This record gives sequence, C-alpha cells and structure tokens, in this order.
Amino acid sequence: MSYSNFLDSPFLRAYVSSSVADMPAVHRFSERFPQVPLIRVKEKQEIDPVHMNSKTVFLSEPQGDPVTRCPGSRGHLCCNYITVDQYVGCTLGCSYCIMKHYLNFEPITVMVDPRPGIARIRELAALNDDRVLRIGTGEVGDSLQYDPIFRLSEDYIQAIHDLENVYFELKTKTDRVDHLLDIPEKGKTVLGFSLNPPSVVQREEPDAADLYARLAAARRGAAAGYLVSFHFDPIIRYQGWEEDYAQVVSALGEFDSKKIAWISLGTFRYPPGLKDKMDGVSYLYDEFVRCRDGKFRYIQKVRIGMYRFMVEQLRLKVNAPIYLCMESDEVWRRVFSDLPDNLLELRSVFVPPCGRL
Amino acid sequence: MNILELEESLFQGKDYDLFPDSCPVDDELLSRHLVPPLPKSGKTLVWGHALVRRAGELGLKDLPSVEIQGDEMELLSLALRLEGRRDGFSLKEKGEVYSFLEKKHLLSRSDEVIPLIQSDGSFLMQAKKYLELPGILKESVDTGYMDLKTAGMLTGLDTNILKRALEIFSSGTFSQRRTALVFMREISIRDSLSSEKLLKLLEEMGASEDPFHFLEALRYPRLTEMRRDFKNFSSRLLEGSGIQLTEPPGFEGKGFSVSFQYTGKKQLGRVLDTLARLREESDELFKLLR
Repeated sequence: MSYSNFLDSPFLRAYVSSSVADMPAVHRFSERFPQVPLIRVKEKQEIDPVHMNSKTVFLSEPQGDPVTRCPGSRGHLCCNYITVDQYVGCTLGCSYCIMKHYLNFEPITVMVDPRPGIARIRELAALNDDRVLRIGTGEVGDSLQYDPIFRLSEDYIQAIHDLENVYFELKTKTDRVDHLLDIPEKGKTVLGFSLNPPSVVQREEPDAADLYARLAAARRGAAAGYLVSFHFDPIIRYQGWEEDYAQVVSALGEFDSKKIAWISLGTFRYPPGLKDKMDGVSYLYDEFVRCRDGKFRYIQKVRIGMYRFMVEQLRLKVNAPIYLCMESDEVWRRVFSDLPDNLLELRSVFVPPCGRL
Repeated sequence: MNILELEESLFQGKDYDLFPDSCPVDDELLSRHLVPPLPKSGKTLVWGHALVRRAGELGLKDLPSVEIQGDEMELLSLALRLEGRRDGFSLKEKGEVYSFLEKKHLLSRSDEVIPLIQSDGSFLMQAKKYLELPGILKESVDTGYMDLKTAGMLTGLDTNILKRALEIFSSGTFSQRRTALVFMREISIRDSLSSEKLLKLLEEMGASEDPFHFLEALRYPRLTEMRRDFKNFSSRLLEGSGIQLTEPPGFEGKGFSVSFQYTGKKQLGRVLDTLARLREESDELFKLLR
C-alpha cells in the first residue's frame, strides 16, 4: 500500500463548520477532492447521524484550548508532553487502540484553523524561555495520516520554526512525510515514528505503513534536515518478541544519533473497558495486573525485564535519550537506576512547563 | 363477546404463541371461565396460548374471546400489554419477540414494543445475541447456569468441549463457573489450542483435585508461581511469629508491608529477631517485584 499520495479521497463527505469554511486547509481539501460534497454546518450536532462514522470528515475550529498538557496517568510518571489536538481520530485500525472502536460512531475531525494553536505555542514558548517544551499533534490521532491533504503541519512548522525551545513532534504510523521535506526552515520539528516488528505491524496495525516504509520515511526526513524520534509503544510480548524487537532496534543503527531527538518505550496496557472491545486478540491473554491508574499492565517484574532488554539493545545501537511512557517510579528505578529528573539526558525532556495549561 | 372453541384454536394461527410457559390464571379461575376474553384476529389467536392449552388439559371446551382488528405490530403490542410483564421477560421470550419482528419484517418498528418489554434501553441486541447461541449455551442461559455475556464468548467452541466444561464446572458457584469458563476460552486463544487439545486439557482438569485452581494456574502461571513463592517464604520465615507480611496487589509496587502487635518486651525481642532474619533474606522476596 502506498502512503505517499491519496489517489482517492479517504472520505465520502465533509462537513465544515461555517466559521472556518474559508481556511486554506479547507480549500486544499476541496481542490484535491472536488467530487466530495462539502456540507456547511454551524456545529457538529448538525451532522446527519447516519454520517457519524470515519468515512466522514468534520472540518472544525479548535474546541476549547487547542494546546493542552498530556493528561498523564495517576501513579505513573508523565513526561510533561504538551499536545495539540490537530487531527482527532484515526482509521489505521490498530488492535490495541481504543479510538478504533469509538470512531465507528464519530467522524474524523480536523481542526483546520491552526492560528489559535500557533499563537498558544508561541505564548507558551515565551513563558518557558528557560526550558525546552515538547509539543506534538499525535495524541488523539495520527499526525500525518491525513496531513498530505490538509497540510496543517506545514502551517505549524513555518509559523514556529524560529522557536529555539520548542520541539514540535509529528507522530505517525504512516510514511507520509514527503509533503514536508521541502519546507525550508524546519526549526526543531521532530518526525516521530511508532515502531513495531513486521509481524506485529501485519497482525495488529493492519492499515498502517509497514515497518520498512516507516523507517524509509524516517531516513528521508532525517536527510531533509528533520530530527526524528522513535516510539516503541506498545511493546507486545509474545513467543520470540525479543528477537523481533532486537531486529527493529538494530535497524536504528543506521541513523545518526544526533538526529534522534528521543526514543520512548511503553509496554502494552489497556483500560478495563478495552478488554471486551479487543476480545479474541491473543496477546490480551497474557498475564496482566491492575495498576494504580486502573489500567492493566504486564506484571511489574516482567515489564522491568522487557524495558531492560529494550534499553540494552538500544544502547548498543544509538546514543539518544530513552524514556518510558506512563511508568511507575519503581519501574524507572529498576530500569534506569533513577528517576528521570535525576538523569542528565532526560532532565530537559521531562521538565514541566509553566503557564496555564 | 365471542366464544373460542378450544380444539380448533389450538391448531390455528400460532404466530403469536411467543410465551408458551406463561399462564397467568390459576386452574380454579380457569375452570370457572374467569379469564380475560382472549383476543383473536380471524383464525389467529393473539394472546393466551398457554391459557388455552391448560384449559384443554382441564377439559374445558371453550373460553370467552373477542375479535380484534389491527396490523401485526398492533396485535403484538396488544399481546405484550396483556402479558403485563414489563422487565419480567426471560431472554428466551425476548428472543421469541425478536424472531417474530424479524420474520414479519417489523424490526424497524421495534420502538413500538420495546417499552412494553423493558423500561430501560432496548432488548434487541440482547435478544439477537441470545438467538445466535448454540443450543447447549441457550439452555445454560435459560437455566441460569451462566450469563449471556459469558455464553456469547463461548459461542465458537465445539459442542463436546462445552458439554465437558459445563460438567466439570457444575460444582462451583455461578461466579466461579463464569471465571473458569472465561479462563478456559482465554487459554485456548492464547495457546491456539485445537479442539482436541482443549478437550484433553479439560480431561486433565476434570481429573485434578481442584479444577478451578488447576485452571487458574494455567491461565496465570507466573502470578500463581509468585504467589506460591511468597506464601512459602512467609510461612517458612514468619509462621507463628505474629508478624503479618503483605505483598503489594498484583506484585505491583515498591515493597512489602509488615505488621505485628506486641504485648511485652520479651515478645518484641522475638519479633525483632524474626525481622532481622527477614532483612537477611529479603533479596529473595524482592525478586518478586524486580
């Protein structure tokens, strides 16, 4: 499957909020897919209920504050990431993703007016001029799945490239980076790739780009001058997982470590409600225990072993900051011998931003 | 009011015979014909099939009846109103109503009858799931042996496996049985067990002293081993000492907690001696967390 271009529209129809109907991103969409009906509405509630699904795109203004802090997870260390809700929803169909199920009854939402988000990032950057901010659009949707159509990342990159203390991360499971390569000033934009072994991609991430396509896209991005990041999340345990993941890690050896902004690790976890929705997925029937945030994770001892293995493998190949996503302080101590605040390479990654968020 | 000839009515127009076990009038009242007039539409009895059958068994020849006009949905609504059992219908009966609606292409009008069946939400999804169950699971749900959700999960399993599993776990409580059946299915998915292998496993389970424990150990081998190691450690070191050692739930956390009471210096001395031994051997304990 080619991810470089959309030959056909991924949407059968588009609803656009009247207040943003003249935004460039809306024109880019309708110029590219003139055959797709564009229906003006005042608010989302006007969308025909039979169109409430992922074949519909809702082009909207940001709802509430466009830039928010990652909600984190009770009892677990958060990396103080800042999120921009740019694309809400995703149709890559990953078996472990709760959005997949919820999206059966929701359109994909694109916040087509980047101006409020950009203004807010600039404001936060000024307020935090003594620290580094990590901001990304991949929290509630894939940053690049639909970006070649709407080109909103480009708007962001061009508007904030001068901010020395802002790492702007576009996180994806696709290889859709080509529309970004020629942007002259890239600032500290990070192209982030979620990675899993080919067998996991094939089984659990059916509509995402394959591993090698993602790595090739990362290479193209790095060659064009972008920083890259890699996210092993979720790491799934199965017979032979060590060998498979070691092979993926090995492929990272070809990247110049200076070009790698960070690497994150997170083992598979699920909230109780997701278990029924994922019924029948074999890796769900490993041994999980309920953690302090109510989510189920592999047994602590097992997780520590998995992280140690991944960190050991990564250390052999790359010299970049590695952090854990949503893990307990006990796991941090056992994997890294300390908490992120005390680890030199991670201090800047984990520093909390100041200012209302 | 008309008279319904029982012999004739028993064999005609049975579409509305949805609640065969529901006979709302006792034999004495029935013998005295003290029943509401039974609605019929042409030759179709709309409600009261169980009543008519019982009347026949009691030797009655006729019952009062009334002719009703209406489309099929209106007649079904009437039957449900006469049943007067909102929130009291079994899954089997809900299944009958669903099948009726489906057969008559009336599912799109189901809103008209849903409130007569249950006061909250719709029964359609539930009824559909019930109807999709194989016979053996339908029976288990009908008899209260298991809930619909568990039965739904087991749908894909071979009938022989289901039969054997239901036998093995018949001795447990509803909750134990539910857990055991869910575990059995999860193991079969996790280990990609063929029907033959799963049946063999069930036989081993059946032959074990405690099938429930056997199954739990198989579903959670590592946790079971950790719990056993912890228990062995505790009893080896602390039995009789009055010291209570507690692990964090699911072995998720930083450490263990220790509690004890003491009633005098001498006893406290013994406790402290035991705690010193606990300190010396703690590495073994902490292996469970790290």
